[in-house]
Amino acid sequence: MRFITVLVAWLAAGLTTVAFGQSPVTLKILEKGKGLPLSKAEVAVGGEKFFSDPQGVAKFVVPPAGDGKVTITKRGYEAGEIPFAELRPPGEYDAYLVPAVNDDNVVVVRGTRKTAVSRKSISIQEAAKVAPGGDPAQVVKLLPGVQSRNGNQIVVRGSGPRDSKYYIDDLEVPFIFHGFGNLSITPTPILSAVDFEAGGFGPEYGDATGGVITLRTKSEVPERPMTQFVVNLPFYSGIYHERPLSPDSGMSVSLRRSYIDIFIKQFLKRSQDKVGNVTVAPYFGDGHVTYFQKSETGHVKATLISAYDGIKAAVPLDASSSEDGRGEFNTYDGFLNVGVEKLERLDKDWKYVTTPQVYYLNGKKDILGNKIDDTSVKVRAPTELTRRLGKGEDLNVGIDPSYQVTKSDYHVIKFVRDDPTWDFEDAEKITVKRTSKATTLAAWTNVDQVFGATTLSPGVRGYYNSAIKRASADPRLRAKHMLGEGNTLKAAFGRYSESPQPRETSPDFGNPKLDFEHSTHYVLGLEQTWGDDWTTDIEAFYKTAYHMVESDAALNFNNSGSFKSRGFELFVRRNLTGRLFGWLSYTYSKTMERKTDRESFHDGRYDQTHVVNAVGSYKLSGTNEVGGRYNYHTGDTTTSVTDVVYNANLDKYKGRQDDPDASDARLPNYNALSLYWSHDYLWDSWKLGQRLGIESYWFKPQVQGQFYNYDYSKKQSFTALRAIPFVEVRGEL
Amino acid sequence: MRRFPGAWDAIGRIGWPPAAGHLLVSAALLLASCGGGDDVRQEVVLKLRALGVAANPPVSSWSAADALPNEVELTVYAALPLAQTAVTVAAFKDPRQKAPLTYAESQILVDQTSVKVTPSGGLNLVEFKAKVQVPTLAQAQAARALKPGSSGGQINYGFRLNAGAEEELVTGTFMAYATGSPELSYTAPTVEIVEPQPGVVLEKKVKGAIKATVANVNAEELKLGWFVTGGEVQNRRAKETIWTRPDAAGPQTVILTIRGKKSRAFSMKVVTVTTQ
Repeated sequence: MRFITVLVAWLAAGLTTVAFGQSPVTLKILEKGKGLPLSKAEVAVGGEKFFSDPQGVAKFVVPPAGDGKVTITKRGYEAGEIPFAELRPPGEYDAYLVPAVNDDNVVVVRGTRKTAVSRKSISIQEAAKVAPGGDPAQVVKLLPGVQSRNGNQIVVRGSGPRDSKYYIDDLEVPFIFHGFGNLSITPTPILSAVDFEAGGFGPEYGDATGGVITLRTKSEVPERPMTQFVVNLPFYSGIYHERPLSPDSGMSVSLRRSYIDIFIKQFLKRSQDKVGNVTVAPYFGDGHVTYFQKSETGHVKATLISAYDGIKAAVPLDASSSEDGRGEFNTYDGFLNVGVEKLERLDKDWKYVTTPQVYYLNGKKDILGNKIDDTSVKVRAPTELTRRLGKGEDLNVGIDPSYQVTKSDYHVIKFVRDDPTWDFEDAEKITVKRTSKATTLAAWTNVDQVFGATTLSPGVRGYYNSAIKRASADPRLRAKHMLGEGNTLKAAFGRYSESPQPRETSPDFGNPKLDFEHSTHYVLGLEQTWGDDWTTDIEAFYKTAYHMVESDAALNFNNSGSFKSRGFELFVRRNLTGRLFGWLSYTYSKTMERKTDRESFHDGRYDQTHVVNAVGSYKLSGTNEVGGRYNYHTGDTTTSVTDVVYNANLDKYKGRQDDPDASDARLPNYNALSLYWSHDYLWDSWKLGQRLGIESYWFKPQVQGQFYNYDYSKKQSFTALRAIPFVEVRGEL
Repeated sequence: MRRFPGAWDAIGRIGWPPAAGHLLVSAALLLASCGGGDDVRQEVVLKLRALGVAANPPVSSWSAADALPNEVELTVYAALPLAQTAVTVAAFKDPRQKAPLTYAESQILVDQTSVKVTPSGGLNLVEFKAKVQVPTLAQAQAARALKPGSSGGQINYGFRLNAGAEEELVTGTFMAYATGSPELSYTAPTVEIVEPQPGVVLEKKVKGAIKATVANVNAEELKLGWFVTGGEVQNRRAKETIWTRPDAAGPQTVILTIRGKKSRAFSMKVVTVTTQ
């Protein structure tokens, strides 16, 4: 039993005049580390029991003489004892309770659309325990159906990273992970959950043939002002602050900035003898402001979120044509999205949510003299109206209109990918300045209907894109059937479509006559719960994709590509109760693709046949925790060079491939083990948490990529360091 | 599934691997080595290696339709370890080359009598000549071989070099322009190796500067390339860099090649030294 810190706030002058034994003790019970009052804490004095009020205050009388003690208990906290002697003379005292292993304060809420078939919803409390870098948004990489590639790329059931959609609530964002540092673009305290749909999702989502990843932010007024800072070595620092503004409103603000560039600069400076004159300066940052106002019938949440990523580098480069033999890279990607989410319950049956937003996106690249500057402004207003039809039955109708203006300024080499003799060093350059406008309109409807133990959700999404002047509609059907207590059979079928990228439809170097890309998803699964602690989820899937955009020597691009992906996923999860939490996720998938219907299918570029993620954490005490992750996946596909010539104009060997996308070879299988230990140091009203560990350790270096030597006579492997140690300190005031 | 369209995105928004922090540094180190951590470095001549092809004239004019075709003399340079002396050479047409103005093997007249293998310091230098005829402007226009808005077009050639089991397939282009084009006055860029000086004796297995001066006569992008018989050149594309000399005593050769990216013109300099 832990000793309770007792602070004496003795009102000496007044209290000495009160007779001992007559006056009550006023004990304020607070949470250690936060200073928050704890209501309904039980205070046992002799044979009597008292309970603290909402302000955490309990009043009782302590015998004026004699031994004895006061015992304080509350679920989720370690019990505490105070000897009577420390509560004499009667007066006002504070007592702090330390959070216990079974911290029942943590409430894991899983709100999800009833018929979501392939959705995995992970609470922030769960995600923060096991996600890479302790960053909850990264937890998606550990879920079934995901083939995480090159760190921050999410491949979902064989679909490429750009075929999935990323949202923060209903705000569309171009990326949710920074380029490095195992960090997402949102600070942890604003998040409430991470939702991931690997496929078979409803008609409320469009313009995606892969999956949907949504970071859910809190919709609640903060209990008290709270400031959190984080110092992560060697990557970044940040500060977060939230506060209530009134009983019904609150706000939060955050700012983060990297400083890894300083460490790399020092490292490279010390290594100059070996590596020469090298500059590599990656950087990132993000920030947000949220205002939340709740009402009896709903809420308003205004959000501004912004993030940027970039790198400046000048390195000795074989392709260099400058006299110092270096090549320069300068890239920047940033966005700012401002939106207002309004949720209103019109009556007991009707409600709507709308999120008008303005989205600014800027990408600048200057790579070996090739310059790209894209600036877009998009206005979007997704709106959803829901009518409750009955118990478990809803009718949803939504629209998703958007208007986008893009200014492009390019001075770049012209890619001629189908020409094996093409080389970027002496490729033709094109200069393009263009302003393009595009309107997209989408409308969708979905109805959840209950037939006994079965819930059916048919839906349809219609859409139009002015850039390609085409419209289409995607029917979707999802179903869940209760087999009995804790057993749910589920299935989904639907068509999913995606607009070509603006560059692909460019009149200058694209093809404005492109059509939508399409995909059909089939999902069948079984969810089971095993008591309070364990759940399992097994899903089989089959996905076909067609009309995929491919390069074309004559048209620049066409819609001739296709791929198919099939497999199954297993998700075994130990719920967040008691000391232990974790899951085992296994995905078997086989993705085959081809460039045209005339070719036969071959391994897809994103195929990872087996993916295993085992994650877990164990609470040693209320303030001590250890955890880890084991990741395994089949080696990524690569394509072999089939013949080589020497280019006398460029003094370089050129390896050529019969089919650049043949994916005829693989890297070795990948293993990584990450371990951490976290410890919270508690003061009365603030705490300091440290987290240390290693990321991506394995017993031998793991191959991250392969490349050929200068004349393609030998393949060489690119391996990572065997482990990255990290230290992170977080303070919470 | 994005393929080509993502190429610029992939370059621009580099997907750093999971072990991002140190991989970033690893990538820098990898790039810094210029040969990608290669245990057989690009600048070291350990087998038959092409060095470059010089066209004479460096830039040609299209042949006139009513006169004898213009001829271009191509001089091919290569290097061999001292132990290898036998080289065979022939014309070559890259079967993957779809560019309209590409010489067939029969159109490249290799002068077998010009083949020379000359010892130079720590290696053998190989040199031979070939002749080709320049097409007419009308032929180039018909083949759509002219660059947009220009009278210039590139003409593709190839050579096959063999030394024992080793083979080097060399491809390249020279430029042709219409009569009167300013590009016809292009001459080859030149280099002078100022360090090390020819014939000097240098301590083996020691780092030392290698430096050159460059004459960019056409004010164009240039590409340099150092070759050595042993050791390690820190940045083989730099005008001034560091040569870690080989751990062997004896004659060494330092070669610097230079090419104009627009003119396609080529020249080189060779210096022999001794390490001990």
